[in-house]
Amino acid sequence: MRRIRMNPRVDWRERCESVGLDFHTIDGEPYWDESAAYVFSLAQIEALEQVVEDVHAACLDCVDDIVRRGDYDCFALSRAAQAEIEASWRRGDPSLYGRFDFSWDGHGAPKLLEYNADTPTGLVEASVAQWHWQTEVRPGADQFNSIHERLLERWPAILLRGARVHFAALAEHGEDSATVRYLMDTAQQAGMRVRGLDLAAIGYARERREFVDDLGARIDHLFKLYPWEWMWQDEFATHIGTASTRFLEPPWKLLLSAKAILPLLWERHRGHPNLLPAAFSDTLGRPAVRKPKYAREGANISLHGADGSLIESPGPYAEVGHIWQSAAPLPCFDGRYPVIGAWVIGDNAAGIGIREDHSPITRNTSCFVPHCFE
Amino acid sequence: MGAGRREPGKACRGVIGVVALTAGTGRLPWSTVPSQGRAPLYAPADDVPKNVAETISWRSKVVMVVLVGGVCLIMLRHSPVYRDTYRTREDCERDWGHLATAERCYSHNNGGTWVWRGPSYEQGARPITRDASLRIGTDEVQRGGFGRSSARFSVSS
Repeated sequence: MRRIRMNPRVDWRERCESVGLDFHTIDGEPYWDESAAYVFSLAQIEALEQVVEDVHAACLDCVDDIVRRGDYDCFALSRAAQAEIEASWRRGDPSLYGRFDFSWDGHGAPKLLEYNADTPTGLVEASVAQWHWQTEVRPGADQFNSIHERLLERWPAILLRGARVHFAALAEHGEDSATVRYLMDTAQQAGMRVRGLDLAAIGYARERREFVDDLGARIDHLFKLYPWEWMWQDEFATHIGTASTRFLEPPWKLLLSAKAILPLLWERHRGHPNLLPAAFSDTLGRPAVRKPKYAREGANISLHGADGSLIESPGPYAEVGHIWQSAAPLPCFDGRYPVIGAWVIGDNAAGIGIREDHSPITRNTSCFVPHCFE
Repeated sequence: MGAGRREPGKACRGVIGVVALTAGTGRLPWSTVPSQGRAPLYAPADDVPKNVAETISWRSKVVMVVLVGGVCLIMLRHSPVYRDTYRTREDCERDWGHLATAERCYSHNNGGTWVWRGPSYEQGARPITRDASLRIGTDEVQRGGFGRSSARFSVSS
């Protein structure tokens, strides 16, 4: 794994926009950065692929264990949420996708930082934009990227062809809207009937006890790019258990998206080469990272160094408590700290996307840098 | 190497090209992403066969008009919307005077039964109908019950 400098395509903005990545620049700064690229070897990619599927299997095993024990204390969930999580797991409600974040420099074992199992984004850039970049800029190389093909395979595996699927996100979030548009497109290609709507436009018909769309039609399957922990806090939470709607991602994915899963994973798979020691209290020594149990975009994370140093990121997540995780310092290439986002479609490793930051904490302002392997 | 990667030279252009065909219809008009005047196609439009592209282009315009209209309705309809229910389609017709909007649906009221629903109306805006005594219930659709938690946080990860 190495970082190389590249000459951006002269018309890179237009090229990105032409493939659906129209949020390539955020607050005047490039979010899509093709002035560099990460290059892997085939052996490294094969190793990563295996790691992703191993860790995914460990995660499913952990969910099964939690549901069997019925112990949700560390997740701070309502009884209704617990019941829905259990029901969805026991029913075998399928998952569409997720994204692991790993710390890795190409040597040794990749270390799992967290699993964005519920509302992962960065999909358009990983699946489409970087694929076009590779075919145009480094056509002789290859890329760990079958995300698009896996999605097309996954939809008919989890829903009957012709099923009506609604897609909802918050209209004011541009990146989320783009992610939903892309997923909607893959579903349509896979033979589903799709309809998109603003999350706030979802209705509840009291007499029918159904969630309905903006036209009053029943919502059978809802892909929602909106975290489960917020769903359970919203006014309609009381109807989730009685309505017939099936959700993507399913409720059990909340367990994996919460940072509280990290200590549980470590307890159940202690010594796993791709897991970091994690605990619910400050017992791990230094260096260690303190993370909120529920958080996004690198918010409210504090990195406690072995030398007593402290790096903190601001944010609004501090209500439900924290977990501690031994630090796996991100590698540093040319002064940038990359995180490898590894995509899982269904149960299969499907590709990676890399985001890098000047800081060792990856945030929503971190750049997406394309990759290839040779 | 497993199946988790694309093989060099196995162009996905054909596959991605198909995305381009549907991207027009898939685009949600509620997006606030600056599109700079172009649809967010997932592949160059050059990949689209001409005859199909023309069909989709026409279809996209229709879908856009419908969905933009829908968005306007959504913005107006975060207050509850009501639909009266009737025992039979004939009762619904007798009250409202037409059949076009009568829909059969399952009601959980009174132990659960199939009923017919009339047109929708907003609170305080029910028109005077021929015989409102025929209705056996009112189905209320509430909106805005998801999304409020986002006010405190950002969404994606």
